Amino acid sequence: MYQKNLDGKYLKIVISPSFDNIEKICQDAEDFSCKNGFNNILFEIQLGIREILTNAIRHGCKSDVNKQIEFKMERNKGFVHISSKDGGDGFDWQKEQKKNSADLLENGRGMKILKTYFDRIQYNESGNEITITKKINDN
Amino acid sequence: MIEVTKDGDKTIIIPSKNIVAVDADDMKSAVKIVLDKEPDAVAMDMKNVSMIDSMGIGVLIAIHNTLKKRGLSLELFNMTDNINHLLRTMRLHQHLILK
Repeated sequence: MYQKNLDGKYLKIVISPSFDNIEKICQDAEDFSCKNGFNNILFEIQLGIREILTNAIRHGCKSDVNKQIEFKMERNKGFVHISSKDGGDGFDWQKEQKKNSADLLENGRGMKILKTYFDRIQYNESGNEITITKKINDN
Repeated sequence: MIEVTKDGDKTIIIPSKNIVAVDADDMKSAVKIVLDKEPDAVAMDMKNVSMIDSMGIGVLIAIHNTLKKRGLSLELFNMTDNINHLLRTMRLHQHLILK
């Protein structure tokens, strides 16, 4: 499933949890970034999208194809807000944030990447929704 | 998925696409076949890679960890500035050879 709703400065996509859909969302996010004038930070934007959606698929939906993920991207003045809400039971983001993964572990870098490349990271209480925010040049 | 060439004793792996979640497992399997031949030295040409995510970094770490057991290190070259910065931020320059 891949249901897209684009309205100027607001993009909403509902997907079934698959890594193929991350690729499609990254393409739509590229188009959205170009149209809204912040494609100069496209690498950071796509990297953030990949990390939050990978978490939603692996930890939130546990790759259950019957679950859904709601992705949103919005430009609001000088910021871009990107969020992902999954149909899972919730993820302990606070515990994950405190992790300090060793350099040579094969996983556990998603949160560090988000903290490095984004200005703000917010979660809902149940842990199944994350919003990442990045400052952009407001043209 | 990958192309493999030789430069003297060095085996060069050339991924044909980005190293991201959707292809991470296939990439790891393809590289494992190369590493099972126990090359003397291994480098990865990143000329076709414009994006790598945390699962892709995991693939690089897995390769490095295999090589490390043989006393070798993974060398990466032709990286974009964005990928070079990302890998350094993740402190991989302390373990891999980033050129």
